[in-house]
Amino acid sequence: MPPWIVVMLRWICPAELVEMIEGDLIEQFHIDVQRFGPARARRKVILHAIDFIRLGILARNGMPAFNMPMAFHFFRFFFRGMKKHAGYSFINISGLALGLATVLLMMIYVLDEYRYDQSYKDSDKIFRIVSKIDMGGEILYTSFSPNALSDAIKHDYPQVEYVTRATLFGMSQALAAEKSEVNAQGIAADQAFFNIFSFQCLEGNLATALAPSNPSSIVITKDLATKLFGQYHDVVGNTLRDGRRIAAVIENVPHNSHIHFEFVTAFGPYTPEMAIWGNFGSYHYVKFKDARNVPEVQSSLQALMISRLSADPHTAGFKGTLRFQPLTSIHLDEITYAMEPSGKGNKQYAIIFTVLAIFILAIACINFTNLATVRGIRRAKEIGVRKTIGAVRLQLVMQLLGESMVAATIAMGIALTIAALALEPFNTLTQKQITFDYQSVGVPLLISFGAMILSGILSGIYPACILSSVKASSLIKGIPSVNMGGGYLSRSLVVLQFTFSIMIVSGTLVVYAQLQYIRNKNLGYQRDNVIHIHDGSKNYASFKAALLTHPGIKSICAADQNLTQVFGAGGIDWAGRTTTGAVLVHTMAVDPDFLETMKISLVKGRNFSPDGQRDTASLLVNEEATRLFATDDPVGLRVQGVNKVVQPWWALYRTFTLNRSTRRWLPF
Amino acid sequence: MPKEYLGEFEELVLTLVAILDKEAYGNAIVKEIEEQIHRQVNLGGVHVTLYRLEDKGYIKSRVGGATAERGGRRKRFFTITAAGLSLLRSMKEDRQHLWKLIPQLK
Repeated sequence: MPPWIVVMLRWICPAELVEMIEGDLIEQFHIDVQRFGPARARRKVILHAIDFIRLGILARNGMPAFNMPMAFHFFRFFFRGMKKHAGYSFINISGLALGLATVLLMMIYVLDEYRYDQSYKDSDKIFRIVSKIDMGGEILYTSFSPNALSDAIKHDYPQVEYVTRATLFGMSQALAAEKSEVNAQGIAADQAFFNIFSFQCLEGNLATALAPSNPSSIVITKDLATKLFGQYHDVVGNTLRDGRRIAAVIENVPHNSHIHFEFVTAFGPYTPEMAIWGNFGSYHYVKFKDARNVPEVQSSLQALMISRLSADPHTAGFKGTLRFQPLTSIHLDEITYAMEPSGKGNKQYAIIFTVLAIFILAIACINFTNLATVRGIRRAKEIGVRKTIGAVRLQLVMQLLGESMVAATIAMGIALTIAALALEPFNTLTQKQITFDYQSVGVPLLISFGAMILSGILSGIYPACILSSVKASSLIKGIPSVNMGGGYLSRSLVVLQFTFSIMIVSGTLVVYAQLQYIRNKNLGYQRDNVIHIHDGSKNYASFKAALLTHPGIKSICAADQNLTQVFGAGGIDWAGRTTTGAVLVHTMAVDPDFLETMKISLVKGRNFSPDGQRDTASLLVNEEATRLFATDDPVGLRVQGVNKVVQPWWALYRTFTLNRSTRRWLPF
Repeated sequence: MPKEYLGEFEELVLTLVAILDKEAYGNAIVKEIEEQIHRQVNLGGVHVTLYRLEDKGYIKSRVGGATAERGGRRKRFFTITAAGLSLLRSMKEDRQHLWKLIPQLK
């Protein structure tokens, strides 16, 4: 009979029973040896012995710790210990609490990133068609795809259950009901949009809301309905001041959706000139009956597009590639596509955060365990006295384990409070709208609870097992003379903890330096003390005049787009051009105070004239554009732009960089 | 006081303690169950049941009888108490009463 069985039995069985149980096992072993031979008997005795680990035996160990006076004693002792070593307890518990809270928030963030767009039904069958366009050397990734796609798919690809076009209105629109007027962000889409994205319909009929027969229909979200009408029921059938009729009210768009809107209008039919393959002008979403058909449809459409592009003289030089991008991977896709409807996530950040969370969790647990272990060993005398009075081993183990579990639980409680309180600023920081509900917090909570229990047990088990096994007399004499073992373990844990800490601190410093660089890098324009107000007001002139009377405001300018996020680029042509192929530039309409307000310095030429009337055909370009035009003195050069208007242009200003990559920039 | 009940296994073990009279201990009970009704039972299960029956007062135990094949460990012998015997008897009577009510057997 293996000797470890005896050791194990002494551990689990009450003292008054263990002798007879051992006897019975040995006797059974001898019987089995004669019956089955030694090998099988050995196996059997192990099974028999393990079979004794049952509640009916364990519970017989007598648990005086669980009766009321002992419970009181336990907690009294625990809090006395906390008070006596207040500094230690504070560091220990708050350390674990902070660690757990950080990990909780980080995991909430990461999971939220990974859960993007998963709330839509059948999200694994929904794809967005995105494009990679090679315009003679310059490669453009865009989430737009050719306008001709939707008709082609509808006619020739039965594998695709639904297809919709969608486009985002670059700016919010003013919607006016009888009593109120609000600005709202909207999209235009086809009827199939609601077949693809499962939005809960609160009122009205989504099946016909965007049908081509109702071009003036509009579908609004619950929030927008409330803003417009003060309520979100009984609003269907109302008309807005511009004549559009509310066709349906839907639930708000979930915050972790890659596309956000407050209203949807019907997507008008394309004119024949627009519905061409070379016009990458809208989003396309498709829903497959069976996602296994995706590669086949993708390559077939790809071939079709290439043949159509080369057939059209305007786009003969274009090389386009289509990709069916799974809906759920849009947010964390490795490729950043232009025209993304909302802020894209970063998979690297998600991974870094996960690794950081694991590190922090490890540090917090190791720290807690080490501190508690050291303190547990210091309590040798107390345990010696307890033993002398007659504490059973299990009682001691329960007491020490219990104390560290209680400490860990307190830390967890504090961590939860911190996380709950920090969620609001955390949401602001990460631009998310996470609420403390099971959906977003469930898994992180489980992880933290696991860590709490693990560190509680780990920090308690060592002193519990070692100290309770040492003789009372040697405990009372002072620090026990026996080798406490584990010295190695705790020392290597400390080393590991410091390694992690140093890695995190230096990593943070590097990231901080990077961010400082991005912040302070000269982008060619002034960012400090500039604010941006989004307002569709038509009384701009008087608004501006009124604001300028305020002493704190130096200058004001109007622009049709936000400088940090410019939508749309157009192809241009100019006199004396030597290159071929399409050239895209970004444009923005501004008023004469633009340069003054943004502190952009002129290199050559002059600014728009203050009255703003004479220069309607003039342009300002940046240095990057000059390089493009391959001329030293661009002032006076005639450029043919998007609107087919011949525009002489006047001035040249310093290049400014956007998003760390230089983009061409040409206001008119 | 509500009527006491025993589980099937408890009843079996209690019966065996009664059968083995003063010689009932863990191994003997396992062996006897195997010989009489060809049923394999676990030593651990028998022990736990014995302790439970002792808690309920249906059997009592004494210690003794160390032998060489037990590595010098003593045995814990169980004997049935008066309460145990009367419970066993009342269970048997209840069972017989119910048996008589099965229509196919009439």
